[in-house]
Amino acid sequence: MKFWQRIFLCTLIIFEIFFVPASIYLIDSSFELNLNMEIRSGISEQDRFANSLESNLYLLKVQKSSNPDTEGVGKQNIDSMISTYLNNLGEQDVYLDVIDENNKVIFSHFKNNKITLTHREELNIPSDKVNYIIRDLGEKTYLFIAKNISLENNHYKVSYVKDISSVYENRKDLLSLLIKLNALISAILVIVTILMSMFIVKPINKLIKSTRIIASGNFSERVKVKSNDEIGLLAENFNLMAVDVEDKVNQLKKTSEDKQRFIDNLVHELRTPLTSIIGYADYLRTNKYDEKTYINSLSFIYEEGKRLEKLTFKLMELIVLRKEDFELKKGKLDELFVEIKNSFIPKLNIKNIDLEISTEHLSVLMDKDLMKILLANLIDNAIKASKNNDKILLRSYRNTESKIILEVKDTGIGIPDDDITKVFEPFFMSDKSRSRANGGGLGLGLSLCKEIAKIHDAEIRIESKLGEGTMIQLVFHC
Amino acid sequence: MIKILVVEDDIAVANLIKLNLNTANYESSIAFNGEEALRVIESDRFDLILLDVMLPKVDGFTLFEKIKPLGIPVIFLTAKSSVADKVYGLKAGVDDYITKPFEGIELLARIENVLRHYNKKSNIINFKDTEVHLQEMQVKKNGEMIELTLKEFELLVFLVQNKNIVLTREKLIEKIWGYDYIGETRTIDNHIQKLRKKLEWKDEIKTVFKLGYRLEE
Repeated sequence: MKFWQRIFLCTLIIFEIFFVPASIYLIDSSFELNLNMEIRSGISEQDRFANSLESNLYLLKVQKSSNPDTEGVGKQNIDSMISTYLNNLGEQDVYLDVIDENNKVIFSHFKNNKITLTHREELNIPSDKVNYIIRDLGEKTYLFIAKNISLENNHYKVSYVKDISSVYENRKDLLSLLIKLNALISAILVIVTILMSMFIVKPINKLIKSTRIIASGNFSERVKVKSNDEIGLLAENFNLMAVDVEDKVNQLKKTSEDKQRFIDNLVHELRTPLTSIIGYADYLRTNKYDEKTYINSLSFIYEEGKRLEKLTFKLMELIVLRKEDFELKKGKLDELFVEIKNSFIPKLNIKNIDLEISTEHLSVLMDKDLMKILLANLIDNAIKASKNNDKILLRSYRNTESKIILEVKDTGIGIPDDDITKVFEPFFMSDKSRSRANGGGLGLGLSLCKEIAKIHDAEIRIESKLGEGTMIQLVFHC
Repeated sequence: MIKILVVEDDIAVANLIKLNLNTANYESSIAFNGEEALRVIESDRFDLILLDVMLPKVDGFTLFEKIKPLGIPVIFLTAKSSVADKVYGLKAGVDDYITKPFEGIELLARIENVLRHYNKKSNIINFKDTEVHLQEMQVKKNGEMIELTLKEFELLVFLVQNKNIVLTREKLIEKIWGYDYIGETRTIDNHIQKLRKKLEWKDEIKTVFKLGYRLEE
């Protein structure tokens, strides 16, 4: 059910519940009042008739007494007096009827007006009381009022009948007016509620429109509803939610893109050696070859196989690093440096490179094996970048913020500015062909270092100038 | 002799391609990056270029745009099997596409296709005293027409195109009968027998133990 329909229905129900009964109650009260008024006026009217009959009798008596010939006032005289009097009395909508003790009709207006009655309960009047009854006769409603009067010991029943249909018709008219009015008001109510709900619903519709856009995946959309009411508040909260969702979605997107790039690169790194291995093997089994081709081909197969092996191990390391919780213990950096240097002596000797250690006595929380991998990667990179007889500086110190710094600095070829942000990406190689020629780098070393640094809550910084050398710092935060 | 330039940064792959090209009697040179390739193309004339997409310095697509005006046929070599890349390459006007890892025979077949398309390769292949007319689908031995069935002809073409290379039974099935062929490898043996008989190539078509057959010159 639409909002405006709901508002309309509620308003209509409330209106009907209060307005209709109240109106009916008012109409009924007014009807009651009118009826009572009619009855009262009828009774007093009747009273007036009775009184006037009595005063007529009195006049008759006076007349008779002034004329001694006559012998008193008889019933007949009285009957004719009543008849005469009432005949002269012509009032509209009012009918009179007089009956004597023996139910003999003395006078009646009814006969002329085609009113015939079978039962006349109102005539059973207990002595002095006035009795009345309301009767429907044909289309009309009449008020019957009966009263006993006694004229010279003759008892008469005087009935006063009045047409009070108008009172009933009045009520009927009012009721039909109420129905018409009700219909009219309902119609007006529809229009008013539609307009009103349109006004109320407008910001909600705006909200709906925006939320639909957001729901369809356009998370950068914002709800543009500005008001201080509940809807404004809802819009505000919705916007906050949208911001949050957008952030999360972007984060997920980035993670997924990173993963996709990782996989793409991995596929490339796997395919290249596989192409060689399969290709050479296929060549050797399907072609005639000389000794030189044979040895060359096998060498390539061997080297590329080794390369795949190395890649597998590095990948394993990377995966393990991402998964495991490492227990960090306090370890001395200077001891670590010496150990590392010893393991690198053969490699250093090939290029006649001097690895200079300068260290303060510093200890940090570390996993010694991981830290060795990190240092080995950094030094390996430095050696690759260096020319023969260069110098590599390995040092540790506290910087001005008294944070512990571990630093590897070479005077080698450096990294181009464009590449410096990408060096930590898996499989990135600043110059692929050279690093291949230079001992088969995989482009995973610095990614590994980054993961290891993360485990140690340390930050890796890199500074490099093309042709002048590279400096990599590990800044410990603890 | 047809000269082919191989632009490939991986030494192992480059060398492998060169080996395969040599067996098919193509002359080849290698460039390890885009810059080097540009230099070589300027100074020398090539009939075809095998171009790796992922190259240091100048990538394959960029390089292709630069050498396009020269009208040299180009086949892309790539480890990327993404459809978008292929579509990009083919739309740009690359003649063909080979995804790594590839096999030597496939590479040679594609090279031959492209070369024939450019009319750099004759439609007649000669092998000893036999002429194979690819267009007319005719085989002549000492000028005399030899009657062959369609499958026999296809098999013969494949053999002479890859002479001195062992063709495995799987490869032959794949090439002549299609991937979805369900049947015995003996079918191939039967066809080979018929070829040997019709062409009198008893010694030329050698059976290589456990692998397949080789046409020897």
